[in-house]
Amino acid sequence: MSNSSKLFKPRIGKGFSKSGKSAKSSSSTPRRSSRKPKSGRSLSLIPDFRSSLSVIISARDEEETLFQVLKQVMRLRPVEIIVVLNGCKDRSFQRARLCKQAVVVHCPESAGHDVGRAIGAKLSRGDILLFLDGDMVIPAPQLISFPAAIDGGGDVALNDIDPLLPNFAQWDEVTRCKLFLNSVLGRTDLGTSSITAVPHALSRKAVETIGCQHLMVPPKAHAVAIMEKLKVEKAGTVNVITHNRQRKANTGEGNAMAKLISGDHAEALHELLARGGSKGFEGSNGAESRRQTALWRNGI
Amino acid sequence: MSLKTKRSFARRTGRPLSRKSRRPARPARETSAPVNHPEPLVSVIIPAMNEAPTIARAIAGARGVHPRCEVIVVANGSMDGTVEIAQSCGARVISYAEPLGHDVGRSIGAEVAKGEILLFTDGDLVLSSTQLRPFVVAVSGGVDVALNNYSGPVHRSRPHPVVLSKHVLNIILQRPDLKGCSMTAVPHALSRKAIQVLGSDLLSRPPVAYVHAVMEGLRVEPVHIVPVGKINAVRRKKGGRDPLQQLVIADHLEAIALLLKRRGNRAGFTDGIRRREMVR
Repeated sequence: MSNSSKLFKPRIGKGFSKSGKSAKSSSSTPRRSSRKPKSGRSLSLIPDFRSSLSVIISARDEEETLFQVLKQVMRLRPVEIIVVLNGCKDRSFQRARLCKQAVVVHCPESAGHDVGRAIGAKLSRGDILLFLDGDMVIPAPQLISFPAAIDGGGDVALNDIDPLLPNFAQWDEVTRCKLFLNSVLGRTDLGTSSITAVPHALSRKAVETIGCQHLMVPPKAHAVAIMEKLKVEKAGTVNVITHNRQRKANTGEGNAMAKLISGDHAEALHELLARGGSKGFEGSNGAESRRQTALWRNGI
Repeated sequence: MSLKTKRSFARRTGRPLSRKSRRPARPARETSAPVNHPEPLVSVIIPAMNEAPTIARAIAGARGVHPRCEVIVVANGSMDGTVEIAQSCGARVISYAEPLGHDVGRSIGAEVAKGEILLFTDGDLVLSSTQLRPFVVAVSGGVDVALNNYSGPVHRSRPHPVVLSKHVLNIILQRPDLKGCSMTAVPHALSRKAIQVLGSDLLSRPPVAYVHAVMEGLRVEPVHIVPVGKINAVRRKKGGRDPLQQLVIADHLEAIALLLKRRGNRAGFTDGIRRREMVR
């Protein structure tokens, strides 16, 4: 088996103290012909990154899925895995400890929504930061495109969920906010893609430009990244809509989570207005613009 | 008289895409001498810029909303006889040679309106009295801002940027129940109280007036649907840009800025249990 990675040595399926079942391989890319799905070992993908990869996993009571998530993450050969357990009351801690490589940050009292991302970023050392949630098992081949986009020179690699969206009438409040924020930032090309959604990857430069503490308000981090002219791009499509765990707080119209994230978008818009970052809209509604628009509407 | 809407609408005919395809002006067929009531209860404000083909029918529909009614046409930048037609229809015509600018006519009309209920519509929007009356009825029943319950075309994969802006403004206002309703769209009606609270100047920037209305605790309700449909009919773009779209989004950003100023950086949404001090 060849490994062209310069920075880290191959470690195939040895990261775990207990080897689990072999991971699902149906959706992996045909990168290697010598795959041994029945060997009982975790499949490794041998990513050929020039930069080092840190993976940050936020989890809240995810004992069911956390180990599987870690298994897929190991296949990416990260230099570090940081698991932030945010107010976990179940056995998530024990599950996270099964992965020897993982650094586990345990906050018994919840630190609040998305604070885990900021904690993880603050502790990380890698050049590429991949952000994941502990409730969603995404096969490694689908994850790879995000760090790969950063490795290729991008700063912010986003999940493109546009192809999965229904009609606008069925969009939730958060999705509407995301598209609006991108349009007033002059980035309609990003559609509804946002740092708010996982998976996404950031470059070290992006983390330093945005500031770790701002990652806990992801829409604001998103707006800052674009206004600071970081290279923000879509890097792949992972269906997080059907996989997202349904909780009491995140279902139904006007739920607590939607309100929190709407508030985050308000904060992002506040930042944008304070910096005058509304691309091409400033002054478009003054008296003279209103006259010109009236003339144009009249075909004059 | 029944206030029930007709079962179906005639397709909106009022906004042809190009001048060439416009129908020739149809002479207004008025049976009774149309005059404004000396002490009106309802003022209908109709901004018009070169709307000769439709203005007579727009006035006729407006005239029927209430027996005590005045129709005010704010004609601006019109060179096609709009003023003369409006005058012959018995409307009070305020005429400007130059174009006033998008939505500015609303402020001018509100300034001179004498009624207790102000109904706003448009010179190229031909609507029957039946379509307009529910807005007047709602305001007389205590609503301050009676909105068109039309959210724009939402059954498509990507929303029109203006439709999106309206929806997002309502989300940030914590009124997602209002969906895409907005004072940007006509027809809508305001109470005298609303005019006093908002001031007629602000009506030129409808989303800003709208945010004010919600924050001042005025009763803002969608009352009746008039699917004005192709309100943003496809027009040739100016250098790849649609100036109307830019303008309306800029209005919405200004409205959001006002909201954030009044309700704080998070527009009044809580931060949950987020402990921001944990990461510096």
